[in-house]
Amino acid sequence: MDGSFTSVSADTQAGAGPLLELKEAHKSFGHVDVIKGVSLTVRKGEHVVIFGPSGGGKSTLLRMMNLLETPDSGTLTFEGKQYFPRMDSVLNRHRVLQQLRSQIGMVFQRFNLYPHLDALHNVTLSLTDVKRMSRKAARLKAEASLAEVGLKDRMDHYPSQLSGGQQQRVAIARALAMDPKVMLFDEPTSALDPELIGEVLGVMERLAREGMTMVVVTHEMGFARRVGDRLVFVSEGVIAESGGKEILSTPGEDRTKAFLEAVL
Amino acid sequence: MSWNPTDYQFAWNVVWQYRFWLLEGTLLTLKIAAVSMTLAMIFALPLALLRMSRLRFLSGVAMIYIAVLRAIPLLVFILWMYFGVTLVTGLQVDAFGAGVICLTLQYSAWLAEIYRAGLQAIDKGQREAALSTGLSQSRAFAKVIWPQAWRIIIPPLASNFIGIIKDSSLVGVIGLNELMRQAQIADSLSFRPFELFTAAMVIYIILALIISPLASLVERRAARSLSVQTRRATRTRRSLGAAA
Repeated sequence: MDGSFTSVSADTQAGAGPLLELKEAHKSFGHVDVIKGVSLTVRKGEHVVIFGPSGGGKSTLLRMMNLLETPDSGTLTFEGKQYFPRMDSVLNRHRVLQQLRSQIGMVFQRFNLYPHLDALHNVTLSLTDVKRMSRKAARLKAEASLAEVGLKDRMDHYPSQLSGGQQQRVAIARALAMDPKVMLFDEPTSALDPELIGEVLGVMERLAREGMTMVVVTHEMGFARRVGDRLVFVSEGVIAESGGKEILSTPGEDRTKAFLEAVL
Repeated sequence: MSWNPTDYQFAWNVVWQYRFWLLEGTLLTLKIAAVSMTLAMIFALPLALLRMSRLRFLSGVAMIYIAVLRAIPLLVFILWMYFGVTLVTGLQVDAFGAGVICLTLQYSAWLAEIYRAGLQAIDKGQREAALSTGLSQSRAFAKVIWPQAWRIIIPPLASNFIGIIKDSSLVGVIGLNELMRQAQIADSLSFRPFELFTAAMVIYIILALIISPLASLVERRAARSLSVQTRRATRTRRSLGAAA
């Protein structure tokens, strides 16, 4: 049954060529097939929203895009360079992975800020370590990133001294400071109290307006409607349907319809 | 029947009389403990990492090492190492070396399990976040995981340091003049076991009492922020502390 949906790779959006391309990806954990042949292309400047029922493979799909999850088969191409399957030697492999990940920002459901570092140093760590910036340059860069998410006055706060919404904004700043070419968001508001969701979505919407390429896994259908150029419905390990905002109002697939009726 | 004390006459002046012996013993005790603990702390890290390896062979080797070394009574180990091993191999190991080797090997097994518990208490997401920004595996460990695990590890490390000081009293059997043996020799000359062993005991207690606040200080400096992670760590620490 998986073959019928895999061809829905949904290449809408005019513009530049593909930035990130996942083709025929498969992944299973033990005996459970989580991703059953998914192809997805993300173009520069595009805002892709992935939605669907829990356990459908959304997060796994997203995590394959920076190879935090290694596909069992399929290919991953970023800016025309193939990163999976890896052609390079074992010795070089880690460096190539680092190179890929340093260009892709990721924001997690549970923030994953470093609790032993204050907000500023959460952001500067990879600037000094990966980008080899001087401390001073890294600090300036981190300050700018934190200012962008409205937290310049919280730089010296530790994660435990920040609200959930503030923590997630620091996490966004941490990813943003690396000047990523695409940002991946893995249910960025699911762990937040309802009254804090708005401030995070606000930052994300501004990023989208500024032209950041984004792939967002979310249950926030309002955000999907406002920001999504392309909506991708993932269920049972396949892309069951994808298209523009219209699939929210007039879904073509029964599964999409059933899901939307349940969440809206 | 009522308690019938003997007419023992206390002579605390023997403690003063042998003060330099006891001091010398205390210094050697501290030296043995410090050297062994330092080496054990270093050796325990690769051991813990091997134990956590996904390669079954490696984790199996580490597991067996840990299980076996924890099972050997230290006194047997010391005698075996100093008299047995040197006889069989012909290697000339002095008493200090033999004592330090035994304490190091055994404590590295304990410490490896403490390290492992500390490292496993750190949320998987920490590593993922670090890797996702392009950090290498080793840098993610050094800059993100280890600093967090470290502050969980400090309190059980402190109890193990106290433990190694006490266990160093066993190396007296191979002729090292540490605190316990100095007290024994002094006793054999003065026949004042109560006074001299009380003195030794008090010195051990004082050493332990000095270490606890020092450990708290290090811990406080390492953990300046309280967070979900730290609270989780505190729970782990309690269970570790109970085990140690």
